[in-house]
Amino acid sequence: MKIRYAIILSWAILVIAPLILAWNQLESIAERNILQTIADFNYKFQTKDSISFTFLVASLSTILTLIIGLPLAWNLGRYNWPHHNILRSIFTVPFVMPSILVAMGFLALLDWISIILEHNHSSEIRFYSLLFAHAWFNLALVIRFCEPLLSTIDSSYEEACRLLPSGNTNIGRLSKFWLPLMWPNIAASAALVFVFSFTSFALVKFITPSQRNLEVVMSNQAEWAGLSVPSLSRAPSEIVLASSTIQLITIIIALLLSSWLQSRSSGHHLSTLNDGRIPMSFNSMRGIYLLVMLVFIISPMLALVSSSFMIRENDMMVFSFQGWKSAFGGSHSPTDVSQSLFSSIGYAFMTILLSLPIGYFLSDSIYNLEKKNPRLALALDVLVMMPLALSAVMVGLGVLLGLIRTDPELARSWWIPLYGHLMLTTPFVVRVLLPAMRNLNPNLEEAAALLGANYFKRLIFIRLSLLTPSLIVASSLVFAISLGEFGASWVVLRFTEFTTLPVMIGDLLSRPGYDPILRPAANAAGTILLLITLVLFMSVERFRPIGSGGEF
Amino acid sequence: MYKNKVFLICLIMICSIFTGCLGDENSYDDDKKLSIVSYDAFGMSQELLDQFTNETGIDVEITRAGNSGGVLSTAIQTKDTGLFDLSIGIDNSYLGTALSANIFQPLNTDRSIFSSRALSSYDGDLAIPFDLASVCINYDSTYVDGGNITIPTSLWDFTDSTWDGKLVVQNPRTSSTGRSFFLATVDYFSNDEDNLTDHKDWWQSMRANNILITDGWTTAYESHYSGGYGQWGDGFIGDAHAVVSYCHSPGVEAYYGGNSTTSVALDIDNASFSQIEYISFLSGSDKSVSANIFVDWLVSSEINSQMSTINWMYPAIKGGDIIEDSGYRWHSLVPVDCDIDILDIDDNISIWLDEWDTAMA
Repeated sequence: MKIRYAIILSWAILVIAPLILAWNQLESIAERNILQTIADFNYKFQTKDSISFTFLVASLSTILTLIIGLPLAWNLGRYNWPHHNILRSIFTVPFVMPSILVAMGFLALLDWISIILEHNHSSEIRFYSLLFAHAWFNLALVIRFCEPLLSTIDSSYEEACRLLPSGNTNIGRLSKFWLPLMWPNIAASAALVFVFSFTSFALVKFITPSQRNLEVVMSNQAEWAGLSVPSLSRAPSEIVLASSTIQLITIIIALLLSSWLQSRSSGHHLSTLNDGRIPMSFNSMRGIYLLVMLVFIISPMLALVSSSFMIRENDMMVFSFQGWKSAFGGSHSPTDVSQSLFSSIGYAFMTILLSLPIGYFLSDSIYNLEKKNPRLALALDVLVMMPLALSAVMVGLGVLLGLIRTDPELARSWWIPLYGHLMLTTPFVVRVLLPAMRNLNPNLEEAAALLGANYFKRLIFIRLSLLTPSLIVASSLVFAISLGEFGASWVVLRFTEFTTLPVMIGDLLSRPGYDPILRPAANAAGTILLLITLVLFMSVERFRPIGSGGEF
Repeated sequence: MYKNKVFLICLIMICSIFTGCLGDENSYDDDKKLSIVSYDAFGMSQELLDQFTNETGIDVEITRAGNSGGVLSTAIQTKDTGLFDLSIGIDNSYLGTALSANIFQPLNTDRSIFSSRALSSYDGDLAIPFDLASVCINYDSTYVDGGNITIPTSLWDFTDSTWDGKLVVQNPRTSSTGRSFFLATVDYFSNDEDNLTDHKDWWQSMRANNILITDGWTTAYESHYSGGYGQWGDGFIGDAHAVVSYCHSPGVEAYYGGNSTTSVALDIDNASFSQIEYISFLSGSDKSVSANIFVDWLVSSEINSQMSTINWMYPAIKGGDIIEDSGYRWHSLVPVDCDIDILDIDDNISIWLDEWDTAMA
């Protein structure tokens, strides 16, 4: 019990301490209070329309993701397709792709579309592309939250519905049976899609460069926020303080809603351990629909891959391997792909070693609290998810201040980036393990205890044994997210000499592209990251238990 | 039961410690390793850095910190910590702020080797110039045909309807080229023949004429500008026919484009800013010997004369120039730049930018 508290306390400190440090620093510099700054937002170029744009994009992206994702989750959940696991991997892999790659993929796709239509894309098309990019990125949330429950609902319930007067039509069954059953899962996924669309950075920055959401606004001010230099003015600190406050309040409300809805999910009462899916082939209308969705998912990835082979040469684009040669040779970056990949894999493995046990104990704590004190369980759940809600600017500033006040040399330590990786992956470990724990039969452990098995034996031979598939899934998720992690690495890794693959890509993209090799080299490095992630997801998908509880 | 839990925690901690064996062999406490903070686009190749290490035995580690402003903010944030020894890329638009913040230590560099232009903003031992270039408007010559659309001869020409929504500039708060051009407009309109208007009037007129403003150079040049290499890349919009960039950007276009480019630097007296980039020895560092060796190497004739291909800028040393290959020099303009004092910038920039921020909202 003490250890559980120690882990919760450590987690709370790791999450909240940088925030407090950054907050204090910004507040000591800001002259105007937060409300005054917010009231001034639309009268300054830096911040004009950023609040309305953030809410608009997050809301529309959430609606679009549900429109695209729910039918997909239904078809994946209720029907058993040939190569089902591969299909599920492809549909869910976008979520762990580095957002900078997603942006590159969508921009490349836009170019192909404009070539086909012989028309340059406008700002309006870019706005709609941003919404589709968010839907593409977050589709996995809807699938992961809804598909497992759908896949284990016994068909006999629906058959029984058909016999009732209000259930003899599709709409009747949808409104009287499926929606009441599914809405907590749908709403919980919608809340998380909203969170990720609200805090989106790279997609907004690259796809709609002429518009700013709050995250981009904060990033623009990051350089000068927290610095007390007269000629730099106090505006950056005030803007970051106000923006992060709006963001934090909004996201905490969304996370509370999401966690509360997940705990209300009653679908598992009707679910069975059996596979309730109906076999289906691609030679059907549903099959054609699924293939269309497959094209939607694969297109940006293919566009990214194809761009890595195209290079401009005397006013035309030609097929070339030069981007790949440069990426592997490291001729245009501080490190080559193999070195960067080695660093990335090293960090990913270390992240698994840390986030899996921490995530396990946090899940265990939430699971135990749910029975004794549901409100505290909800609060802890939100605390676990908090890192996903915090702005990288605030965390970066807080970490830097913390390091400078303790030991500046620590900033260059190889393990500092692990902090960012840990913060971003542990919430997902909890999202995988918590529903799996809820589905465990408590009688098994009680029986083992009665037979004299101590805690360690029960943990190894019963609990971890039953949780093995979920632990494998969680490990793959941690590995993939860590491998593609860009934001937190960018905040802290740049003080160290270890360049990960996403940082190498960012480095190549941040230089002026006069040299025609730079962009294809970045795309080549991105393609490698994409392929590794895809293979990883496909190989562990078979370990995912059927109906693993309706969370991530 | 608790013992087993403690065992598990210990196991985790041991694993964590074990992973420590993979790195951190550096102690950073000797004089043979220099930590440098530079901007993202600093083009010094690893081969050249390795060459320096081979010649001197001094290792160099470069940390990228965004743009010129990012270098300054990192230097201020880490002041006196010894985290970085040198900063590369703080330019003369930020130098006044840097000097006020007391973040530099003197260097022993012989300043007689530099051109008068390189020393025009600052001639002290706290900031040593290593490269320079002018920031001005570039235009697409396929749009400016000399017939219906004539070459602008004054910045006021861009307020004409023919340039409605067709000039893209960078946000002076977030981009160093944007800041440089903004400063050029301040000086240009305060010294022109018209005493009734100033830079604020011009920017307001440009806002009315739908000037495009991006947060960084890359988006402006690659996505919006129709006359640059961006037209061959992903995400090209091409809605602007003029962009704020370097006056030698057309030269770099020609260098990579087989002596062919449609981009031209606009030659208007005092409408460009001479950007001079400095290397400085940061306070808190005790690696004076290594720092001076590196600075001397960077401004040596052998290295500095190659600056037009190393970092795509003009050398700072006397007689330094950009190379002639593939029309690089032929397509590069050397304009008459504005003349604005770095202390004047430091005193007023906060007010100027706040005014700009309000005017452009």
